[in-house]
Amino acid sequence: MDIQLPQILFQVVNFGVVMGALTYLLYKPVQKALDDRAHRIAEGQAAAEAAMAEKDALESQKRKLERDNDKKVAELIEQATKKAQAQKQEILAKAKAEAQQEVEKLKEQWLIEKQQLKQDMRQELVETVMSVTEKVIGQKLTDKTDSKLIADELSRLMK
Amino acid sequence: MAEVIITTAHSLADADKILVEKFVAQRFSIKPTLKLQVDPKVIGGIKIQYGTEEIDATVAAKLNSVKQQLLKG
Repeated sequence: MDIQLPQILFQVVNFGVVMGALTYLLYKPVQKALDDRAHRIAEGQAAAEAAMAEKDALESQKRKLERDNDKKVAELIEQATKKAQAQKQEILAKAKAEAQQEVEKLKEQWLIEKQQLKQDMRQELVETVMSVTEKVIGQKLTDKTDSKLIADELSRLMK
Repeated sequence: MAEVIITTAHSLADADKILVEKFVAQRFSIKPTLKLQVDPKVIGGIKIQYGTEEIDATVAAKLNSVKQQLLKG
């Protein structure tokens, strides 16, 4: 087998031409397409990461708002509880005072009624005693004893 | 002559009338004319009225006084 140098040179030049043509016509557009794709992927990834970051920020803000809301709700509940407790105490105190006042009033009324009853009983007793006394004295007092009584009274009045 | 009203539970005997007349004359410094009234409600004793003055020495008045004292308690 003979080595034919011109043939080899032709083949080398031919290969170089083909390689140059391929490089110019195929490799560069494909490389550009690949670069564009990689760029788009990188942009998409960055956008996704930004979106994730925004999502995290929003979630963090949401949690903060929820915590603030929970705190506010707890404060409102505490305030309402304190207010209700104060109102309860006030109502109880008022009711107690009113009840006490009513008891005092009833006690006073009872004492008045008791006093009145006592007075009525005393009056009735005195009336009865005096009535009986008047009858007894009236029956016992004769003209003679009455005459002596008058004389004694006049004598006493003269002094 | 000044009129003096005398109220008693029983009619006055003459001796009592004299006694009363003497008392009234001395007490009020007058020469009285006695107007005698009998009222059983006075029970006993004597009530003398001269003008606006009144001496109540009746049993009813004394009992009433006692009654008031008892009621005051």
